[in-house]
Amino acid sequence: MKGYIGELEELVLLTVAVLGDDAYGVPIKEQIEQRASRTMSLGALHSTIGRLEEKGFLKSYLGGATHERGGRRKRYFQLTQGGKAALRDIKNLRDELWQESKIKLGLAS
Amino acid sequence: MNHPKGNPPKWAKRFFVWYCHETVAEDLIGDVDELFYINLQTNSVFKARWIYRLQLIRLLFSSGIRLRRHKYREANGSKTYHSLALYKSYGKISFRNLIKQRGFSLINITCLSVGMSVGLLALAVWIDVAEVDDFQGNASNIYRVTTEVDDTNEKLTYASSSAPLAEKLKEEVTGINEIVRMERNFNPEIILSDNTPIPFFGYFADDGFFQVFSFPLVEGNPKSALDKPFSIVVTQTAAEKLFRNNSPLGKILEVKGFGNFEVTGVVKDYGRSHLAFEVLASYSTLPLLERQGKIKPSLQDWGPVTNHYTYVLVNENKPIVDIRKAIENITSPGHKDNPSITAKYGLQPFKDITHSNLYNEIGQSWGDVLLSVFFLLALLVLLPACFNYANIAIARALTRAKEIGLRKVVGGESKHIVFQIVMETIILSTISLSGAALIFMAVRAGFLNMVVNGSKLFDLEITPVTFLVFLAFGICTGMLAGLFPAIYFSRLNPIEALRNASQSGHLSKISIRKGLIVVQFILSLFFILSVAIVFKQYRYAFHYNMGFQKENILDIPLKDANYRILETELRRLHEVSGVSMSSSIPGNWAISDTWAKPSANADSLEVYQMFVDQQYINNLELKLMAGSSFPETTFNDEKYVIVNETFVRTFNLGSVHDALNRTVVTGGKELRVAGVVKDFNYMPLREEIHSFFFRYDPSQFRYANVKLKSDNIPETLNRMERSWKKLTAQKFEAHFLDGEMEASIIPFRNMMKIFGFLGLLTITISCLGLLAVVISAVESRTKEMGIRKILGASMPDLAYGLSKGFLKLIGISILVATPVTYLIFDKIFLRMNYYRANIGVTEIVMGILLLLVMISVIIGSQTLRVANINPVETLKYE
Repeated sequence: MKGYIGELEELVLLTVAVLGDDAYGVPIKEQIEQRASRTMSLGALHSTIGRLEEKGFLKSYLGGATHERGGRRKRYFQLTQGGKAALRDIKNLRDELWQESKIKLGLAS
Repeated sequence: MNHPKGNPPKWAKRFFVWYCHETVAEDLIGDVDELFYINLQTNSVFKARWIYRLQLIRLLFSSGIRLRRHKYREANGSKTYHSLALYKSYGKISFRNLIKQRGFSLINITCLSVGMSVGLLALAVWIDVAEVDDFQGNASNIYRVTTEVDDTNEKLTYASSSAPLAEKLKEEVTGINEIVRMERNFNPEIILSDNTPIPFFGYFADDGFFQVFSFPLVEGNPKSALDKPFSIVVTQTAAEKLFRNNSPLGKILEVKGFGNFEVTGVVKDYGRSHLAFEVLASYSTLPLLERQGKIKPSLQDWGPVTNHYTYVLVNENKPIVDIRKAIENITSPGHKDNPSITAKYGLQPFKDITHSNLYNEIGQSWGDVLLSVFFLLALLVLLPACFNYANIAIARALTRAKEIGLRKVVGGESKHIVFQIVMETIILSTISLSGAALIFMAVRAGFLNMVVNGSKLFDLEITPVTFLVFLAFGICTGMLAGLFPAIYFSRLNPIEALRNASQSGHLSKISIRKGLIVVQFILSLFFILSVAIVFKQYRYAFHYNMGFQKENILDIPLKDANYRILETELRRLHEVSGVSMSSSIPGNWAISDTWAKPSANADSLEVYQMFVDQQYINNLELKLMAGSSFPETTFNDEKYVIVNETFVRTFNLGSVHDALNRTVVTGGKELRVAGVVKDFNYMPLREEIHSFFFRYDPSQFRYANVKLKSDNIPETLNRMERSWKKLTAQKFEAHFLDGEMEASIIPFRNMMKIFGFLGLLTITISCLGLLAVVISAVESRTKEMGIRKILGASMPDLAYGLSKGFLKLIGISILVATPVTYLIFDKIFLRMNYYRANIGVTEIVMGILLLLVMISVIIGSQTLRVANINPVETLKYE
């Protein structure tokens, strides 16, 4: 494992996974803002994405040119195997921790 | 992609793309654009744009962008490396260098400050002139009708046009929305309740004036303010002067000589305009005034093109070429008295008016020619300053050579070095700019005084616009000055530079630098000589014997006072030793001319004329060569003339005594020569004395010439004013003749001031430049001097050896500058004056000596200093 991931990074990775083939800047930002009801600037998003790319959890490719957006191409993001592994790791870790924890959440009990 | 509600802010986007590079920013810009349009659905354009900008700013500082740019650069290699760190380092190096070489920095800053100061002045004037009338909303559709008068000798283009033209334009030209006629002789003296007339200046203007020009009215109706006869519109400032705080609208103003006017409007105080006015009277007043005989009739006359101006507001949908053609097709019925004079009309766009240089301009204008000369002079001062910088920088190359060499070795490319040096120069020139601004502010007042009525056209205040232009000017100067040394440094061979092979110091190697020194001193000498030559001319004009008495003669404009009563009144005062009457004042331009012939069948010749009374010749101590003045007995019919010597010669009347009683025919009258006076300068010295005669016609008298022998001038003037008050309500005015004459030599004084100032600047620049070059050249040879001294060279030998090279250059400059200056003044400037002092050897020798003294002080002080150093000091360290 190449490094730890933070909470926001996890959120971004999961959102990319949710969006699948349509994961580029705007929808990622909108999804996070909707689901987590927090505001997020594109700058913050790209800082996070930059870190994730450096760690090797995300890769990107440019989409084809379309008529929308004045002919500017979109940059799509995709999870790498390392990304998936990191998500799995963190999920396992959390599950384990939840299982052993003494708090019983309403749903689980 | 255009959204009906609005688009993303352009500049923010452009900046971002520039900063990140297109390939890096492509998808990001796409994203923010998309977000913008999403935001637009729920927010206002304004807010969406703000969000857009905020997003971009956040992106600029996000680490993701830094990473992306870094990657991009690694992949592609950097062409333009805009790194803050590098700028910082450049800045630091420049400041350290500036401080390390304090003396040279000071010299450089002084030189550039001095050099830029004239440039700032020229730029400020240029901006101010460009801003004149910038508040006119219709500017692009307003044209002025100009008149090209062809009197078979020459063609002159007048800014004015004849009065009846407006009617013809209305009838024959389509596409004109509004015509505004203006007449410029409305300079009223308005009489207030306490009987003191206050003078104002302004025009008669048509009722369309406020529709065409954008002078907003505070009070009154702009459509009808100038409609009725005897309406007057005043500016806020004038209204305050006249009515204090009362509302002026509807009040009656008594205008001296014209009658009562009703105030129909108050114009808001406006910015600078070529149509500057304090009061405007309705144009419809003019026909009434003509009928009442209060002004000279000119409304129906096509002949004179002096007083009326025609402005037109054209229909913007109609092509201006058609209108122009239609106007050019109009022919004037011609001059009444002289059918050979023809006139053609043209259109001048409103925007060109402040730059135009036509005859008979309305108000003030500042022609392009004048401006170009001004810029040329500014350049003449600026260039030597830039040369200097380049010269000093290269002379000091040794101190920088190692730094540059090292930078090259570790991979600095030529263009990086060029960039660094240019940036250093720009820092220096921006510092100098503040010095230049100080000089600019110091000379501003003097400059405004020198230009007649300059303050109406420009105030030379530093506004944000001028500030920015100045800054741009400073940066450009920096680039100009820095380019040459930058290229020199960028070509430096790193191996030689690091091996410390001496590349500088010796003046002999680089001929361009020699050329620079020579050019500077040519300019300095040119200005020194100019001052000397113009000073001589000034003194010559000041002491010139014009041929008549000019001291203690007081000229009083008669206005409407009866000359006979005034004469008796004045004679009663015991200080007055003589009174005479004349139609004009000798020695100025306002003299009339006429045509005369020796007999009815001969050809007419041009003759200047003045109407005077019997005492005039005595009073002004003109010398009669033959005959006498006009006979004492008053006569109603004009019978005699008194001619000057030139008249006798041009009319072939033989000797002065032969000329007596010969006839002269002028204006249909046959007159006899009563006397001949010695030639005197009835016009300024610029003009040659031509044929001239005195005539006797009391109706033409305009001035009383009073000869005084008084010790208490103010008291005498007071008494005269008291006598004057008995005769007329008009203002009493009096001027001493010698004072009036001095006005004609003011141009020389101004020229002297200008050349003196420019000379001071160039001399400062060239001397400082020379100082710097001498210092660096001498310093690089201290060791050589030490060795020579040990081997037995004497002090004078050393000093001579050091200064030889420089002296040669100065010699060349003197050889070039002297004949060039001589030719320029002899062939151009002084040619403008018919009576002039020729350029003498004394001025030239004195000028050269002055320059030589300054140069020897500079060179001598440095060479002697080095020659004096104990050789032990210089040779000890190796």
